[in-house]
Amino acid sequence: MSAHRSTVAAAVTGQARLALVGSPNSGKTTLFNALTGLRTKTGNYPGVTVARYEGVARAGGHDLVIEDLPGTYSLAPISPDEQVVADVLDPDNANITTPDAVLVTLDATTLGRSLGLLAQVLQTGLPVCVVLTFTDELARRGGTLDVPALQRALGVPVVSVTCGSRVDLGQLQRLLADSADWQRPVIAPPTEPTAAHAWVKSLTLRACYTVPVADRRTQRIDAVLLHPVWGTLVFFATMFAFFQIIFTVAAPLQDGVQSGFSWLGTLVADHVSNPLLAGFLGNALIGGVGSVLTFVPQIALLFLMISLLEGTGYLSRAAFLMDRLMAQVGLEGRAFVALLSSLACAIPGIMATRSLPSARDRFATMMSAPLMTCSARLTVYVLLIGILVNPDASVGPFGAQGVVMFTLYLVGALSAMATAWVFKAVSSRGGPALPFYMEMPSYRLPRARSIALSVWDSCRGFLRKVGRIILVVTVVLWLLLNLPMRGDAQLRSAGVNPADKPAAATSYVLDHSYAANVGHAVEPAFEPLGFDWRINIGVLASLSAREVFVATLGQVAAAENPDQPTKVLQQMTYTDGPHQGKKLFTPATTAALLVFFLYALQCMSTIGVMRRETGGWRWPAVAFGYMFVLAWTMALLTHVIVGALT
Amino acid sequence: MNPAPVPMHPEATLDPAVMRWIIPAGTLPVVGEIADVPAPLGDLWSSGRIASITVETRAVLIGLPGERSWALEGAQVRDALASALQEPHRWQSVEVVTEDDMLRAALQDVLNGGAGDYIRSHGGEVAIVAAQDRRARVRMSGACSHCPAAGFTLHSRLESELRERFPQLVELCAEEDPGGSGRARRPTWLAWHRAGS
Repeated sequence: MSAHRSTVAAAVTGQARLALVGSPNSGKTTLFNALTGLRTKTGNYPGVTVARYEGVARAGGHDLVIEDLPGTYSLAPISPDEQVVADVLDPDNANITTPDAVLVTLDATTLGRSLGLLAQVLQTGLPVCVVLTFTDELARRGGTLDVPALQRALGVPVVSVTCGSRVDLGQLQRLLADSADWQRPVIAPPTEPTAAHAWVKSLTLRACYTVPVADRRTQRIDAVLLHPVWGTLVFFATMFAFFQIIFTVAAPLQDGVQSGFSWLGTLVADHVSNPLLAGFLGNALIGGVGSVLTFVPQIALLFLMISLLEGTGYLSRAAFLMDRLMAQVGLEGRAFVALLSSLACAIPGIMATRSLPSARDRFATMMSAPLMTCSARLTVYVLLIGILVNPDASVGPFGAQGVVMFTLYLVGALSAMATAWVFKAVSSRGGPALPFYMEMPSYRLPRARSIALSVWDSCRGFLRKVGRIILVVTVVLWLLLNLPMRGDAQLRSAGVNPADKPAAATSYVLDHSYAANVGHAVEPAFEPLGFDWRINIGVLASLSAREVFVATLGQVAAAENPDQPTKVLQQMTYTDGPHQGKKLFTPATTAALLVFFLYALQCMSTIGVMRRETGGWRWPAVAFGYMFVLAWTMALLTHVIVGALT
Repeated sequence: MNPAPVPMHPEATLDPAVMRWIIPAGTLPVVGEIADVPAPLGDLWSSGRIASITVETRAVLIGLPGERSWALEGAQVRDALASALQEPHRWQSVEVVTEDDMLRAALQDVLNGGAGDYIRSHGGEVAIVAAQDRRARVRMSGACSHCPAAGFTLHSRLESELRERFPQLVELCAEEDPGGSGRARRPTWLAWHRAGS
């Protein structure tokens, strides 16, 4: 048997490989975190673990590799997600390393269903250890289970692990140390479905398993939250509150970060005498990268709230409520999961489409996911809304800025739906309807540690992006904006005296830089939208990552008045052309910019993931093309309409 | 297999040649050593690929001849057993099995199982005194003598478990160990008499 061979091989190399298998919501990822301490996301949200997670756990003085496989209900795969699990556990599949042993998490509250998956894992012949989870919830809801009897009946080790219990975990770790010695069933469970069902039935009888009563608390909450009218109202109220919180709570924090950078800016101005170095530090680093970093509070809050919704179990309810709406555009509730993840970032959203069994649904969802308002757009929106809407203005009891933000999110979501519908309609050639199942886990209080890890992870990801792509692009832009260098003589000959008016000298350099040339070159394309060469540069640079737009405008503004960049932007005027001297950020132009950012696919990472997930350049090219055309057209419309109104 | 299959699963025994196949109580109308079973299990047996078949209240014990292993034969025996369990009335035991024998076997199964373990873990002893006409009597001795909870154990554990295995049960009663107290033998009729069920 190949299983035996690989065990021997692992003993020689000294590092055993274990795989974690279980249904979604069976506490698999929580167990993985507890065993490895590696930071991955945990949640009540089906389909959250789609990437491959590995970690190292220590057991009995040895390190062993633990792989967290995607949650699955069966080894007979209907989605790419489940295919991964089936492939990993198939000893005959030469492409993927088969683990030496498998840990199967069984949710004690849904034992009957979980045992079906266990039967399939046992058929692979790999050594198996069963980890029973949620036995505390089982007891609370009046269910019973005889664990020793279950172990006898299964013929494999069974450990009950209550989340967070060190004693339970210690017992499991001792078992992990010698997976080769685990007891194995002499006879594998039957494969034929009715016989397998009889096997499961017999086990539950033997282990005196009684099904727990429905969780009263969950039932009562769901009576309201899943109600067709109240539930939908609560859903929209929740989403609305979500964006209000991002604005109101984050604003003071953001001001704090901002003033920190202003202070750094004055330090640089006072202490760095070399004008070139001062310019680089003050404008490129503090003005550019610093202006992106002021959005860290917003990003942290966004992810805090998403993980709270996920951890309590509300997100799956939201997906359930939205299933009907999704059906209108020809998609299913699972696609909503992907679209909702895209609120954080389109990349996990696109990866979450793996849980969709139908290829057509996958492409339609992937094409629409980048339209959902991601956290990168948030930075641009916050900046532009700050220019467009007076912070004291209000709509009824709500801040007008929050309302505009909510509207942008809503328009993004509706556009995503419309796109999905169009792509479904275009590619529709009929096909079998595939089953849709989605679990409604009991409401659980999320663990503070999981939430904190998730927020930390996202902030770290954002900072890493700032450190790599955004920093590099910002530095390149700074060079383009400040080259060619002008000597004093050159400036004087152009009628600017650098001695009395340093600001005028800086803007002369800026207006005649290489970047300005590029910005002017593309002017004909963006002129109808009201963009001038500085915005053009920002838009072009933001094709790498949306936040770069903020960094670019930050640099331009910081060059003129480092203390109050937003004020500078508000008062910025056209430097040449037919509108010379007029205000640049008119409501029409700002609104057009917002709409442009709403639709355009300005994210290299998204394009990269799309290429990887679809296996070619065709779909990313389609997505980039249609989104650019859409962005330009919609921005033009907005510019015309808002221009006519104001 | 057209009708719903009988729930069953194998559990290893101390003897590697013998596998205990757990089935629900009341599946088979016989207990003890088996003389004849329906095909295809019967064919496996007559061809010598199975060495022995014994029925307990909630299990069928199947022994393989020494040279054969469950790892190889398991699936085939399981399928054969599953179809044989569809025809319970064609199972024949070596000895004639009466209803009293079924009751005694069911009671023995209870005492061998969880309820018996529980009593023994508290230092008590239980023995079968009689099993006749759907009535059974046990003797509770050791720590059970004078234990105020003995009556509760009798009903909440022994009687309910016995009734699961032998639904026709009329009553289960207990008598105290005569040597323990020194008093005259005194039946304690703790059972709520059920006039047939």
